[in-house]
Amino acid sequence: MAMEVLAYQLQGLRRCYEEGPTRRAALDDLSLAIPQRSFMAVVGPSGSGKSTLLSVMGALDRGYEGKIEILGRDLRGMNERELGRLRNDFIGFVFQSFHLLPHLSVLENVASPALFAPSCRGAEEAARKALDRVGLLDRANDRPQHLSGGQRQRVALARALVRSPPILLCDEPTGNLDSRTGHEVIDLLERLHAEESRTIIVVTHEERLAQRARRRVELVDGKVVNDTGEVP
Amino acid sequence: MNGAGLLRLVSWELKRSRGALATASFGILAGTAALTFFLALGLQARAVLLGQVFPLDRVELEPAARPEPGLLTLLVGGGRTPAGVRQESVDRLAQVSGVVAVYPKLRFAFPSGAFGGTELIGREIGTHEMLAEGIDPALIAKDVQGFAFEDPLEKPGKACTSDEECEGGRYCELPSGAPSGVCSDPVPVVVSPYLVELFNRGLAPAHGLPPVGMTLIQKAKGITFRFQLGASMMGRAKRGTMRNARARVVGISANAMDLGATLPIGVVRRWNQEFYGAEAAVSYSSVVVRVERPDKVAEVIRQASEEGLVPKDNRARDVSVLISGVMGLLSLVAGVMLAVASSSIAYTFRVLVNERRTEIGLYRSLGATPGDMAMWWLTVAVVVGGLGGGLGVVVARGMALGVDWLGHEKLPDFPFKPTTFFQFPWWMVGGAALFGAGFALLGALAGVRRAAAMDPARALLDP
Ligand SMILES: Nc1ncnc2c1ncn2[C@@H]1O[C@H](COP(=O)(O)OP(=O)(O)O)[C@@H](O)[C@H]1O
Ligand SMILES: [Mg+2]
Repeated sequence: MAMEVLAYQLQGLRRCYEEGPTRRAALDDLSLAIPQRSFMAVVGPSGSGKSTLLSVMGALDRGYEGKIEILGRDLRGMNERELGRLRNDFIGFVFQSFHLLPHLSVLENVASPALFAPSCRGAEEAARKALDRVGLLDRANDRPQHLSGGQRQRVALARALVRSPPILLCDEPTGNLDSRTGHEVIDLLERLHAEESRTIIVVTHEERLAQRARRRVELVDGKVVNDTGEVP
Repeated sequence: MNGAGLLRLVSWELKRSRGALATASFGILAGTAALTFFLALGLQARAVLLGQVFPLDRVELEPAARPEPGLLTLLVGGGRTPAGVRQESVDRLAQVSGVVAVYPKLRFAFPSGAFGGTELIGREIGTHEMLAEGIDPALIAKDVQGFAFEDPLEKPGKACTSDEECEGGRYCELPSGAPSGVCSDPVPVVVSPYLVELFNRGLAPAHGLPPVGMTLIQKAKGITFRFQLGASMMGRAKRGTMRNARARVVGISANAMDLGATLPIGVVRRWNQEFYGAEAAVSYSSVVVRVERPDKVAEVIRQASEEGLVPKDNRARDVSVLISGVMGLLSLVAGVMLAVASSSIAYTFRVLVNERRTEIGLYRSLGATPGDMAMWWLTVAVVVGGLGGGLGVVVARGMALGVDWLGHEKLPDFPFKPTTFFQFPWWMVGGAALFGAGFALLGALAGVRRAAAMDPARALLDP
């Protein structure tokens, strides 16, 4: 049986920022292989490069050296249009501060990835399904600012899921939530992984969430210092 | 990004930022309105002044002044040898590039007056001083309908010694000192639109006379009057004895002299010979050169100076330079308004794009490219500029209608008063709107580039 293609193949990844006269490596010669259907937590102290790693893996940051393959596709040599398509089709993002658009309804927010798809057709239907999945279909016509923090993050999750991407990248998804609502989001992520078997990568410094993940990668100063757990 | 996506991003932005965008585009509107208004005014001023009052596509040349004869002698006409432009000069001028036609003219070399109007107004009015000149009939032909514009003696009638012997409106053309003459149709005369305008808007209302026009000329079968040849209030001709000749206004022509009567040149040759002598019949008193385009006039004037000829009248050039200067200045004012508007647009777009920083980051994470983000803001700028420019043109049109209404209601009738003071050709309207919109785009460009260059990873990071 042929080996299944990896969700991510990172090799010798390096991302430097100029800091005054010196260059500081936020990611330093980082290599990782992440199979499909992984549920992986990235932990580490603040400033260790977790968000930088997620931006690079999300094809939002092109300033890296090294090699990234997403589902077998080498990002080097892709132009902005191809990278945009890739983000639109393959990757769902969830951010610590939700980034919902206040001038749009919950439903319109969830449907917004369709704006950048080849066509808007079927977007509303898909958005309703995604909202149903996170249990907020009854709030479809509300404005996001009328929702609680946990509900907002579930709306953001629905938006990340609306185009059914194979990969979900979450940067501190519970960072702005209290422990009870944070719990809801964690439960939801776990259920999504169990039911739909997509690759989920969560940056967090919350142990509770990290323990639910099947694999745990610890970063310090842009390097992997610990990689434990199940590699499916 | 798909078309529907772009449409939504743009319409959300227009809705959310309508206040700021309206404020920013007001300058574009005002600048475009000013530009359009001034250009429309200038175009019409040029059309009326240079098309009707001082035609610019022609120049009248005459021999360089010998000692200036003075107004008195000019009016009397007697003291001056009127001949001066030779046929060879006329032929050479016709060769100059850009020259469409050359019309030699021959002025009356003797004093004359003109009286008439009985059939129109029931009494005779006229002037003891009449300026007149002859022109090649071919140059008038298209302006005369229903009459022949030619020397009537080309088809002479029977011999006569007095007007009573002639029938059908003819008179007895009997040169001074000749024992007998021949019956002749009235001499055809054309007048300039300029003269008609002066009469209709100035003299006619003041004296309760009806206005003159082509229809009147047709209806009245020509307006007849009598030339008094060989004498005026100022004096008598060198030769011959004063006598009358019948004449008839048969048309209005731009090739006619401004203030006076224009006759077939053959008639003037005969009469000059009769009242002045042979030398006043061989060459021409002036020559009108018509050119393809106004800018060809300079070359004609240069060539003419080699023939010893100078322009009779520089008003057209002066007026043209004046209009261009004033228009240039007003357009500059409009341009400065647009430049200021452009910088206000630049500021607004800078602020708006900065406000949308995380939003741009989010869109990028959802699949937008830098080009998509540039397209979003560029389209907003196009809409803002297009609305500003388009409304500016509409406002200018409205102001023009207002001014025209005021001009119609409040200004007295004056010669060459146009029905409108403005011209709005489509190319000018479109050009001004585009020009205004262009300034909006120019201002927005930095903001558009900023939106494209926004680093999404950074914008999405928590503060
Ligand atoms: N755009 C940037 N410019 C300069 N330095 C940056 C930038 N983004 C991140 N860094 C630096 O890179 C390091 C890693 O940052 P980050 O990935 O945000 O860490 P984490 O998410 O683990 O807290 C930090 O030292 C941070 O200051
Ligand atoms: Mg971080």
